[in-house]
Parts: sequence; structure tokens; C-alpha cells
Amino acid sequence: MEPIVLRRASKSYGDRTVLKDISLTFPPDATTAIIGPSGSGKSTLLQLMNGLIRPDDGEILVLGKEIDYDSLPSLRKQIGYAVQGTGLFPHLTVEQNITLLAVLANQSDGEIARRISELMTLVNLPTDYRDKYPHQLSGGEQQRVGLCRAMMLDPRIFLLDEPFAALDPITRAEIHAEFLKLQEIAARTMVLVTHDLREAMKLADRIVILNEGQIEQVGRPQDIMRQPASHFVKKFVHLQLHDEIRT
Amino acid sequence: MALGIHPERTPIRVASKPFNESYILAEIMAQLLETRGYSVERRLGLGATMISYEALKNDEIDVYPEYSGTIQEAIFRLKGRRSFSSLQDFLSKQTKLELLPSFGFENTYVLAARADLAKEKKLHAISDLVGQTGIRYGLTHEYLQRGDGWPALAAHYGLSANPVGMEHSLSYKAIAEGQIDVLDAYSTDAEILKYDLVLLRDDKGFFPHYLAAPFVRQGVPADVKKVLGELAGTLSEKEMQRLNALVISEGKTFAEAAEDFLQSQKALSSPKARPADSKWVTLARKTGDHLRLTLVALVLATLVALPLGIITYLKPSVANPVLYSTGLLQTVPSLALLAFMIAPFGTGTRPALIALTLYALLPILRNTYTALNSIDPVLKKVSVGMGLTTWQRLRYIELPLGAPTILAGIRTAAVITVGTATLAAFIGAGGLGEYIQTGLALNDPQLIMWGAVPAALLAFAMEFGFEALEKLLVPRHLLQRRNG
Repeated sequence: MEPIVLRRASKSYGDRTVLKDISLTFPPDATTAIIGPSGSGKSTLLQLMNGLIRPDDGEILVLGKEIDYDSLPSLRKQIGYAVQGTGLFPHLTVEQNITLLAVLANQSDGEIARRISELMTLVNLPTDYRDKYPHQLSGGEQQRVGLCRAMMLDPRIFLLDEPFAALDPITRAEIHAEFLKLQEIAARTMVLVTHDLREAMKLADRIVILNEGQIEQVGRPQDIMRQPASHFVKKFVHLQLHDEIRT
Repeated sequence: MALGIHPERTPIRVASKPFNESYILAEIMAQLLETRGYSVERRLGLGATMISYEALKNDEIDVYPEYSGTIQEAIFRLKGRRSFSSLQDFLSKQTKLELLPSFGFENTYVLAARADLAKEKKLHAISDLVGQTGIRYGLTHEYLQRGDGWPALAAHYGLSANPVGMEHSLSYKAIAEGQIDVLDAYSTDAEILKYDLVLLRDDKGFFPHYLAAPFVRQGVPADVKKVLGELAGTLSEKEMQRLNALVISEGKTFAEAAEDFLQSQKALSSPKARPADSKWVTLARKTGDHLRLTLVALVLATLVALPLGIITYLKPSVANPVLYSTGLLQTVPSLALLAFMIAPFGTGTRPALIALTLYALLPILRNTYTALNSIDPVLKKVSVGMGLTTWQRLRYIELPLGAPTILAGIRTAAVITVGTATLAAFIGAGGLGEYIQTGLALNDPQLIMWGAVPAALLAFAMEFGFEALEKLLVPRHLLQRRNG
């Protein structure tokens, strides 16, 4: 069963069309990157999948069912959500941030303690960071905490909205490595929105290229490189990958 | 039967208006009743005629000293000249109230002028004022508003002038310093002698008689009325002036003046009244009352405004109506609000608390609304996106994040309420406002300070208390970020 299916989804704001007639499926337990220039609608597309945005037309099926807009919280608790800038709650400690959903789900203390320990080790965060506050951590550390938080309830689906964009290149490279490791250990359905084609190439099994609300191409990274489907894709790839430092 | 306590009886509630003579007459009635064995509850200093009348009508008090002219013209607006007995008749038949026989003196409105001016312009009667230019009138606010007050007087005599409204006790100061020329006075005022003023005769017979008498509810027991009736005809105008002067010029308390009078009347004399509490005990008691009023009102206001603020956040469509109408409450003059409260709620603590709570709503409401709407949109998006329900978001994310601002709103409300609570005295709810009110009535700045200074200290205490509370409830880094 495909975890996420979009059928002819459209969204406009006033007379500005953001997404036009999008039909997409996402392969289970694999990483799909959604990429495109700013204003292409990629963030909107992502937010259709957890109901933060409602489409004007079309259907969206998550985990086999159409989204029930009257019980979004229970759907969302099955989806891990991470955003740019992490959105860690400043008034809660690292531990409280990560375990919030588990506490609300009335899991036992032992279970919670075990899980957070497991997660922090997985992302290389020292466990004695638990009592620190977000503002005491570096950007990279905060992003890792954000990932732990998203993973706490062990969701099958993750929606990631440019989560690594604000990191410096070195930290980003480290996190990329951890991301790939995590997928290797226990693969999940990942939908990653990014503006960085190199990142997409590195992390994703499949890439969706979006431009002005429409799909330009869907395919594996090597296919996109070798057989660009349109002039736009060709230019886009060229700009992103061959924008080297002038020597 | 003469000297015995009646334990099964509820206390007789004796009230007064907030001026010298009213306090003294009320004390005389109260002490007389007490020596006859009744227990008395004093509700002195009710803010205005309308407040004391409404309190009597609504069975909140049993008796207070009133004047026949005030009953006829200000309260019931009756046409024509009524004799005292026809007024008593009217009250017995058409209301549930009763006017007992007069104490024996009249305290009527007079216009008084500076002696030197009166000599210069040959002013002996009110008619002599007609046609004069440049005469500055300083009249009490109540007099300017009353149907039987300035507007009618000016019309009756053909006077044209623009009087300035002022507090009665302040107008004497003003005339002494030459800032005004004519003021409205009461014929038994001690200040008339003190400031060397000339009373202008009411030669066109404008003013009705103002005989002072106990104004009671018909429902008051007959034996109580009989005791009060013993005061009939015992006080002459001169005697009342003397008693007034005891307080104003010689610094005696109202209770002492009343005692002086009762002692001088052999037929009414009583054993020495019980000693009053020391100054400091009274201060402690009033401060305690004040603090209690403030805190209860604050808690009530928080219990109402906090949920209301959350509702305006969850349903933005109601935000404006709710915020505007709460703001509107702030603009209602406090004394007016208190007067409106009497009919439904009576006098004393209940209406005072309701008024104080209403005034404390806006800062809390507005701060709650602002706090919740100022949350970082990224945080809001994440908390929604990760699947927290509305209640979970409020409880774990939004309210904690908004706590500094919300606490600041409650803090503001606390300080405001300490100040507004001084008005509670005007409706008989006690507190530090009683010093201020009596001080105003007696033109005694020191007495005013006894109320104002502790109130200011209470406000400081509130500030410190809230600062400590903030440190306790909010993680330090959130406070610092706000202030730094």
C-alpha cells in the first residue's frame, strides 16, 4: 500500500495558482525529495499531506485513507514533522521537547526513558544534554533534537520541510550522514522538501521536480541527470550542479 | 427592659452620608441604641444621597439621618410646599419608608458670601446678587445637579452666573483664600463662624425647609423607632453647630462628639461608651479589609478574563466585540457604577467586589489575547503539525509561552485594583478608603494620608509579590529574553 497518494490536487490563493492538478504517489520506506525554485509550491505540497493546508480540488490519501479533517491530531501523531529552524519549544528542556508526544500518549516512564536514550544515541547527542534548554545548543544539535522529537512515536511517515537549510555546510554534511544511517537501520517513508539539488541527490531514492505548481519530472537521481524531461529541468540541474567556484 | 442586650435580634444597621453632620447624627443614633441594649452595625459614609436612599429602600440599612427638603425635592421630586407632617404622611402611605420626628433643627441651604465683599456691595439677601457682575460662585457638585439646586435657584431669582463645581470642604478653603466669592453652605456649618461669612437671606422664599430627622424603613421594629423618637426636638441649630465645631475645629472624633451630646442630655445619658480600638489596630484592620477586597477581586477577575482571553484567541471573530465592551466598562465612572450596583446587589462587600472585578478585567483580558497571538508562528505551526490538539497546545505550549505577558497583565490589574479599592468605602465595604473619605469630609490632609500611604505601600507589595511569582513560574531564560 502506498503510504501517500495525491490525486489531481490543486490549491490557489485568490487568483494565484500555487498547485495545479498534482497527482503523485510516494513509495513506502524510501526517501522522496521534492525540489524546485522558491514559489514552486513545494512547501504547500508538503503541507497538503498533513492537513495544514486543504486542497481546493482533488483527493489526498494518507496511510490508505482520505484525510479526515475532523480528526487531524490523531493523523498527525502518526507522521513525523520537522521544519527549518526546528521549532523547538524554548520553555521546555531537550528531554521535554523530545518526549512530549509520548508523555501525552501516556506511555510508561520506563518506555519513554528507553526510547529517548535510544534516539539520542542514534543521532550522536550526548545524553546529558537532556536537561539543557534549546537556546544552549548549537544549530546542528538543535536539528538533531528536532529529529528525535519527530521520531519519538516511531511514525511510518516523515514530512521534512527544508530541515537542514539553516545549517552550515559542515554540520549539514554530518547530519546527512546520520540521516542515511537512520534510513539504513530502519527505513521509513521520507518526504523531504529542499531547494538544494545536491542534497536531494545524496539523500533521496526518488526526486520530484516542481515548477510553478506543476510537476516537471519524477524519477531516480541518475535518471534526472541523464534524461532531463524538459528544458526547465535541464537548466535547473545545470545551474545547481555546475555552479562551481570560478577559478 | 431598659438595659439589656437583645441577643436574638439582628443588628440595627445605621448609616450616614459622608459629611460631618451626617456622621455625628448617625453616631448619636447608634450610641443611643447601643446603650439601650441593641446591637448596631455602622455603615457610615455612603457615597451620596442616591446611594443611601437606595440602600434604605432595598433593606440594606435600617436608618440614616436625612433632611425633609432633600426627601421632598431631590429624592421624590414632589411639587409644591409640603409641611413636615404632610411629608411624613406621604411617606407612610405611598412608600415603605418613614420619617420619624425631627431632631429639632433645620439645616438648610444658604448662600454665603465673603464678609468684606458683602459689605462692599451691600449684599444682605440673595436678591442683592441679581445684576452683579464678576461674582465668582463655588458650589458643590451635588448642588449643581439637584433639581432643587442651582438651576432652580438661578431661575427663581433671575441670576446669571457660571458657577464652578467643587467639594464642599474645599470650597471653604477657596473662599478663605479669596478664590471664590460666594459658596453654597449649610446653615449649621461650623465653618460659617470660623471663616467670617455672611449668610444671604432667602428673601424670595426659594428654599424648602430642611428639618433633620431619622429616615427609617417602616419594617424597623416599633421599639427601635421609639428609642430613636426620644431624640425628637433635642437638638437646636446652635447645638448642632457646636457639635460640628467640636469635630472640625477641635479635632474630636464623630463618636466623641456624639458622646458629648448624649452626656449633656440627662434623659438620654448612658454609661461611657466602650473604648475604641487604638489607631494602629484600626489601621491594621482596614488594611486587612483592603487587601482582602483587592485579592478576591483579582482572583475573580482572573477566573473570568483568562478563559475569556483564550476564547478570543480561539475564535477571532468575537475578539473585537469582547475587547471593546470590556474596555467600555473602564470608562463608566466608578461612583456611578457603585450606585447602579445597589439595587441588584445591596451595599457592602458584594457590590464593591463586583465593581472592582469589572475594572480589573481589561488588563488581564487584553494581555492574554496579546500573549497568545504573539507566539512565534513557526512554533505554532510545529505544534499543530506534530499533532497536538487545541487543548494540548494551550496547556503545554501556548499558555506557558504566553505566561510572562499574562502575568504582567494580572500584575497591572493588581496594582490598579489596590487603588480602585479605596472607593469601596463609599459603598460601605470598608478598607483604606474610609480614611480618605473621612479626611475629605473633614478637610484633614493627615487623615487622607493614613489611607493613601498604606494603599501605596500595598501597591508596592503587589509589585514585589508578582516579581517573585514570575521568577517562580517562568523559566529564567524566557524572562531574560523578554527583558534583555
